[in-house]
This record gives sequence, structure tokens and C-alpha cells, in this order.
Amino acid sequence: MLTFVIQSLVNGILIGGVYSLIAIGLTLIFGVMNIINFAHGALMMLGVFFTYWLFTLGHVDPYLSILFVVPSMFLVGAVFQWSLIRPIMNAPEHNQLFLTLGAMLFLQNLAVFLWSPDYRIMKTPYSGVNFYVGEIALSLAHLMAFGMAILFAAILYLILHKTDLGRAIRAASEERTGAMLMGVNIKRIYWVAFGMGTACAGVAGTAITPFFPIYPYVGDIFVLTAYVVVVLGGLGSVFGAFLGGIIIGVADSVGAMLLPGSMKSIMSFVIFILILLFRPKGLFGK
Amino acid sequence: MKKGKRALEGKGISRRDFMKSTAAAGMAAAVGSIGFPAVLRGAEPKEILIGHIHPLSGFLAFDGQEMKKATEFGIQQVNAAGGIKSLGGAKLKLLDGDSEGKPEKAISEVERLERAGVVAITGCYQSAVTIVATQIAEKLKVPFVVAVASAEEITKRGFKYTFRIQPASSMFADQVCRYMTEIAKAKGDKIKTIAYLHESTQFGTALADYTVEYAPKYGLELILRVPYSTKAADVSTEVGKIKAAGADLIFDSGYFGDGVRVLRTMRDLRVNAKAIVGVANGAFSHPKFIQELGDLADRVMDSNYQVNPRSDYAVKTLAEFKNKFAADMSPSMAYSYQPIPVIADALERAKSTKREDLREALTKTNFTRHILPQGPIVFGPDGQNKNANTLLMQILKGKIEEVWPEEYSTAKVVYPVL
Amino acid sequence: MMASHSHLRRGFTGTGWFVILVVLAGLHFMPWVMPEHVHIMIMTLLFAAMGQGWNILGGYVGQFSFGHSVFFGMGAYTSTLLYIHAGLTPWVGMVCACAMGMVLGLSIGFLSFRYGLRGPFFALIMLAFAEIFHMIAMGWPAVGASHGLLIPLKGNSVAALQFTTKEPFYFMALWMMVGTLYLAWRLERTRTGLYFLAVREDHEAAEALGVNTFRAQMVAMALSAGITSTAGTLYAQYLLYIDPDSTFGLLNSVEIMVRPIIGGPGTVLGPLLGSAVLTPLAEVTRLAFQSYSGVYLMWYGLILMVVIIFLPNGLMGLIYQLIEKIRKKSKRNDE
Repeated sequence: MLTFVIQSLVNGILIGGVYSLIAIGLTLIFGVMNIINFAHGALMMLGVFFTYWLFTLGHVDPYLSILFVVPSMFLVGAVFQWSLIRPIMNAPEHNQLFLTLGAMLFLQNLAVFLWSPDYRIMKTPYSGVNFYVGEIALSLAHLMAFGMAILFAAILYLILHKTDLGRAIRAASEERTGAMLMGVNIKRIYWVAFGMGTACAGVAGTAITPFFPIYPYVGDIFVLTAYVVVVLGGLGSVFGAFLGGIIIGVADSVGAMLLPGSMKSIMSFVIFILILLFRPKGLFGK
Repeated sequence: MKKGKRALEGKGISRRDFMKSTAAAGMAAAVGSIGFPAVLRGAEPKEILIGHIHPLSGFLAFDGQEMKKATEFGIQQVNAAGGIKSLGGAKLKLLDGDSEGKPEKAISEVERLERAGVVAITGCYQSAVTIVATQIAEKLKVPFVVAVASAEEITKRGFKYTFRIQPASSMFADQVCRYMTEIAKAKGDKIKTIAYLHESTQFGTALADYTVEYAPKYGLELILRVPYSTKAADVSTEVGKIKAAGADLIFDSGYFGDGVRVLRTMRDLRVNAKAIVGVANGAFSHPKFIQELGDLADRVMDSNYQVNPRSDYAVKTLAEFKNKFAADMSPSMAYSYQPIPVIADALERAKSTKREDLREALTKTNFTRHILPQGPIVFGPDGQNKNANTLLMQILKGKIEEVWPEEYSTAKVVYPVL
Repeated sequence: MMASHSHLRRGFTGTGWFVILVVLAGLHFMPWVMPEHVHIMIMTLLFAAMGQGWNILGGYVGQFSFGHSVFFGMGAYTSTLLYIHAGLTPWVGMVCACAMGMVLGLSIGFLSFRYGLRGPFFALIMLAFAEIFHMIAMGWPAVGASHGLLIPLKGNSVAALQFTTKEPFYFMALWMMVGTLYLAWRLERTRTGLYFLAVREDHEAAEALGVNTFRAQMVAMALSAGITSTAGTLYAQYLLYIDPDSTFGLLNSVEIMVRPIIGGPGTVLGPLLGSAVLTPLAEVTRLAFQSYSGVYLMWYGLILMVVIIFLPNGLMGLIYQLIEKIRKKSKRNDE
């Protein structure tokens, strides 16, 4: 029984890393532009499929394909922001919500149209490899996903705090007008931030391919959880998003232990509602 | 009118064709709403339409596409033998219906097939979908010969137009408990407890319910049941619960994709038991299962419907299928194939393509030229095949062997599997 | 948003009412004019009605719910469970469904509005509630779990709200939709309607002027939820089968939302216009592509993006603009 509990918690922490990665991208975008990007899950899905096709057609190792995924997803995000978000930056907030919803519908179902809604499995050399600590099984693919989450969170943190670009981004998110007055090119910051956020989502997509089925709706599951994480961690806080991801991963595991399978996410949604009502700033929000 | 119908049956259509065909369809629907295709008024038909509904896309697409092939094979077999001789050698034609794995899609598919003039419908692989589809078929008075779907209530609603060939849930549960008890006894072993992992729709839940009911009859007890969602990508918590229960036997019911996932997770987590037994499992006695999992699949059992390994006709049919489709016919596929010869036989005896006549003929079925491990296919007053049987399979040395009951067996059972 | 068009909202003249009545009468004959499309028409009307429900809270008050499927599901399950377990005629069941929907809406509304949730936060909390109910419906055997609920076949029975033909459902959907149109039209002319707009335009200013914004939002929520739940019952009786995905699913929230947004948020005819455009579009796409049924959503997404960027007041906004142009032109011609 104890084994079971520990195994569940370990699984929760590891998958939490993936949630963190997606949430970090989402929170970065929100922090800088005040936009809740409903299309984030669909963008992650693009990362998933990009990795899948590279693997299936080009035999590129999924972890190696990150070298392709990061720049291309960055580009996708930048173009997305420039063409779709920019025209409505000054429109009422709800328009931004609907626009990103429209983008999600379009991207997701474009994927259905092009690649069918069927589930695909990526059989990599990493799938099915486990390390055993006593009775506890640690899946290699999950560990790698977690590792990537930490790596990218760290990279993002360094960029934000140690580079000029990062300082500009943080300035823009804290005080837009002030930043502009100091000479920050706000327009450029926007698409850069969006690009970075999208790249994170893309990497999260790559991370799950060795152990998750590949299909157009894969983004849905993760992005719902990502909103919960972002709000829990505090909108705009990268560290909050990282920590929030782990917490929610564990909450989902606890939920799975206590409730029948289909209800396991109830716990995280209840947490979500409580935070929205009583502490909308989340743990570390601005 | 014919042109319009062909446009509907075809692949993509242009806007103009859509307009044209809609008008044609409107007329056909108005005329056909009486209950049989206008094209068949009086004259001998050249083509008899049969519809099938399966999850051709979505999360069960793999299974669905297989069912489609098997159904198509049945049609080809009947046509190659001369079609329906009592109707001038009329050939059968198959119309596809895609449930996408969702019950509510079945509603519109049944209605669409009925409008297109099918004499009968078969399907749907999922109990939940089949229950809904048969209800609409009953409302529209279209004979429905269930291919694969185990839920008891499919034939317990007093419907006149529903027939089922495969065994019902209660039979699966009863027979698996009996088989395992007999095997344990034969090996001088005592078993008591079962832990049941099952997918959470009607299919898995009903099987687990009946197991709870019948287990005590054989001195067994179901100590834990863990439902899981077929669509869930990760079942490690559910499998973990099963592991923690430490039961003598582990039962598992699910479809192909999740069956693969479940067993893989069981091996990852090093789950052990005296036997891991699928109950009506879509994966555990499927030839592709062994391809997917290799050695990991060894010694896994499945108490399931199966083709009769000792019947020459069955062996011949399977070989024919392998020839045509370059793949093995799994038991699920066999049961998707079987309704077609049965419907063809009924058409022969009915000498008519009117749905009511076909229904009448189906109730009088006494069909022996089949590939199942049972006597003749005879439908009871509730539409259920009275003589349906399950067999216990086991994967030994990379092959699926029938191990119990011994009269149908092809190899000796390995028990306990540890 | 629409304030400048207020002169278009005056009452109808005699001619106006006559035209409306003629159109309405004409709509009654549609099932016989296009019999093979009755199903599409029913769905168009049903979702137009629900869209109007959403519109009251979203278009008029400015609280955009991304989880309206929760009311749809609540309505469908309430009447169905009452029928299956207590034999309660679905007519009464429909009233109960409406009531349950309102109770649910007011409860969620109480929490949300009390804590000042707005914009994306309100959208997300509605989404969260919808998902929670979705999961409960999926996992709770007493309400059918993932099997859903099958309504026993009773053939043609008015008492059981079941019919073997589609026409009765068409009329019910038609009148429901007309009812919601009328409701919205009347609301626009009442003080409550003005309060709605005030809350939408500037929440704080409205408060400062003494408008009870909490009350206004709650009233809107109750109406919105009640309408959507009632439609749920109709849907259940029409299909005779409901399950968690087809009722509480996210897709339904999208379908309900997208009609008024594209048609014209905060207008009477917006949801109907949106539904009249989108529902047939979905059907045609389904037939034309004959591939996977989700593909029509690509169109929804595309149209949504185009409308938001270029026509933020929806199709009705475009129509109003055209009417303005024509009026101005005719005025100039008069001079």
C-alpha cells in the first residue's frame, strides 16, 4: 500500500514537470501582454505532431528534435502574435479571449483534417525503459520530461534575469508605459515573449511523445490543467508556474488515488475555483 | 433518382452535386419513408444494401477499421458464392457508418443508413454505442444484427428487430469464473480472490457486475474493482491499485489500445498474480497484441469469444481472409464477419428485401455454416444467439492458443503463470 | 457598443409586426418545404435559443461564460432522471430542469459575482464548473456514469414528450427560439436591460451611479441558465439518449457561445443569425468533406477570428452598418 502511494506521488511529480513547462509559457504571455491564450494547447499539439513527423519520417530522435522544435515553435508563436493578436491588442479583453478560442478551434481541427483524430503511438527506444528504486518504477521517458522542464525553466529564468532582453521583458510586463519611455521596443517584446511562450509549449509537446498517444486533442487535457497551474502559481510568475505545476501534478495523483479514474482532475479544478475566488493573485502573482 | 443515390454513397461531392442530390434525396426519402427502398419496388434487385456502424475514426479507429475489413470480407464471400440466389443472384453491398466511438453519433448514422435503403445494419463494437443504435433501429424498424457488443440489456428490452450473435456479458462472466476454477482444480491449486481492472463504460462495468454476481457460485470473490477510462493515456494509478490488492487472479476488460497500455503498465510496475486473465478483452487474444508487446505478452490469458479452432470451415475462412487482407482475423473481427453470412442466409429464406420479411426470417434462423465454437446459430425470442460460447485463450511462445475447455483446445494451459 | 444604434430599437410599426407575423407563419411550413433538413433546422433553432440564453449574460451584461454546457447538461439530466426514476412527465420535468438550471446558475453566480470575477476569470471559472460536472457525470453510476442515460422508447406519446416524427420537435424548438427572441427584445426596453448594459460598459461607473451590479448580474445569470437548461430537456427528449460528453462537454459550450459572438453579441437577432449561418455550414462541411466530424470547427475558428478582428460587433453589426449607410444615402437623396 505504501508502495502504491509513493509510486503515485512520484508519477505526479514527474508529470507535474510537463504541466510546469506548459504553464510557464502561458504565464509569460500573460505577464507581458495580459492575454489568456486559449490556443496554447493547440500550439503544444503542433509541437507534438512536429516531433512525431520528424521521428516517423526523418527518424530524428525526439530529444534531438528539440533543436528543431524550439526555433520553429518560436517562429510560429511570433507569427501568431504579429498577425492575429496585434490587431486586437487594444480591443476589449473579451475579444482577445474569443480570438484565441477561434485560433484553437482552427488549429485543432486543421490537425484533425490533416492527420485524422486517430491515436498514434511513437515507439521510441525510451518507451518502456524503467529504473527501479526498490519497488518503485521510474519511467525514463517521464524522467526526461521532468528534466526538460527543469532545464527550460532554468533557461527562461536566466534569460529573464540575466539578459537585457529579459530585463526589457520584465519591464514591459511590470510597467508598459514606463518601459516604452525608457526606449524599450514594446512591439518587439510582444512577439518575442509570445514566441518564447510558444516554444515552451512546443518543447512540452516533444517531452510527452515517448509516453503519450499523439492525437489532435492532446492539447486540451494539458491546457486545462495549465490554466489551473498558472492561476495557482500567480499570473506572470515563472517560478509560480513551475511550482504550481508540481503541486497540481501531485493533486491529480492524489485525486486518482482517492476517486474513480474519470474524476481525478476534480481536485485540481476545485483548487482552481477556490483560488479564483479567494486568492486570484495565486502564490506569487503580481 | 439513381444518380442522386450514387452521389450520396460516393466520396466527396461538389456543391452543385450536393444541391442536386439533396433534391433527389428529398424525393427518395419521401418515397422511401414507407419503409423500403423505392428502387426495389416489384422488380428483382441487383444490389442489396447492408449498413454497418463502427468507430472508423477517433480513439478506437484501429479496432473499427478492422471490423470494417471483416464485414467487407463477409460481403465478398457471399457475393463470390453467387449472391442471394433466391433473389436472382442479387449481390450485397456494404454502406459504412462511422460512430467515431460516440453513442450520439450512432443516432444520425442509423437514420442516414435507413434513409439510404439498407435492409439491415450490423455493428457497433462498443456496447454503449450499440445500445443506442439498436434503439433507433427498433424505432425505424430496421433489422439490426449485433456483431460485437456484450452488454446484457441489448437483448433485454423486448425489441423485435435486434439480434445478437456473440455471447452476452453474463455468459462471459459466468464462463470465465468456471474455467478458472476448473483449471485451478485440475492443477491442484486453490484460488479465492479476484481483482478486476475494467474500462469504465457499459462494456467493462457490466462484465465486472456479473463477475461479482457469479463468482460466489464457484467459491470466488471479487475483492477489488478499478474502472479506468479507455481514453486515459496513463493508467499507472489504476494498475497500482490492482497491484496493491494482491489478489490470486487479475481480470481485465477493455479495448485494444487500452489493453496494450494496461499490460505494458502491469509489466512496468511488476504486477504479479497466479494468472492475468482478460475477460472479453479486445487486446489479449488479438494477434497484433503479440506484435506490440512481444515477450511481455507471454502467458496472458483471455476468456473471450473465439473462432472454432477445430472446424475445417473456420480454418479455411481464416486463411482466405489472411490471403485477401494480409492480416490475421482476430476474434472480434470474426464476430464482425459472422452477421453477414447470417443475414444472407435469412435473405435467402425470406426471398424478399422487405425489412419486415427479413426480420421474420432472422427469427427462424438455424445456421450451421459458421466459424464459431458452438452448435447452430439460433436466436431466442429475445434475439440472443442461444448457443453462444466463449473459450479461454493463452499466449504461449508467441502464439495464441485455445487452452480451455479441452474439447476446443490446441495446447495445454500453463498455470500458475509465475 | 450598440448604443449608437438605439434608434433602431424603437418599437415596431404596424408594418413591422405584420412582416414578423408573416415570417413566423412561414417558418411553420418549413418542415414540409425542406423535409430532409428538419434535423438541421431543429438544431439551428435549439442552439439559437441557447445562444440567446448565453447572450443575455454575455452580450448584454458582458460576462462571458466558457462553460454554458453545465446548464445544458443539468437540464438534460434533471428531466431525464426524473422521468426514468419517478416517471415524471418530461413536461413537468422541463420546468424542473429550468429551475435546477437557475439554482445552479445563481449558486455559481453568487460565488463569482460576490468575489468580483470578471472577464477571463469569470470565463475560466465557468469552464471549471462545467468540467467538474462533466467529470461527476462521467464517474457517478447513479446518473449513468459514462454509459449515459437511455430514455425508454414509448413511440408516439405526448405525455412522455416522445414522437416518432421530427415535426413536433421542430415546432417546440421554433417556439422556444421565438420565446427567447421576445425575451431579449423586451429586456432591451426595460430598466433591467439598461442595468445590464451599464454593467457591461463600465462596472465601476455603474456602481457609482447606484446600480446594483450584483443583482443585475444575478438576474441575467438566472435567465441565461434557465433558458439553456430548458433546451437541454428538449434535446434529451429529441435524441432519447444523453451522456456526459454530448451534454457537459466542452464542445457544447463552444457551440452555444460561438453563435451569438459571430451573429452579434448584445443584439436580439444575433444568436439566430449566427446559428442560421453556422449550423448549415457545419452540415455542409460534414457532407462535403465526409471525413472526420470535427472539421466544421475549423470554419468556426476561422470565422470567429475574422469576425473578431474585422467585425467585432458580429454579423448584426455589419447589417446595422449597412442599414446606416442606406439610411444616410436615402437622407442625402431626399435633400
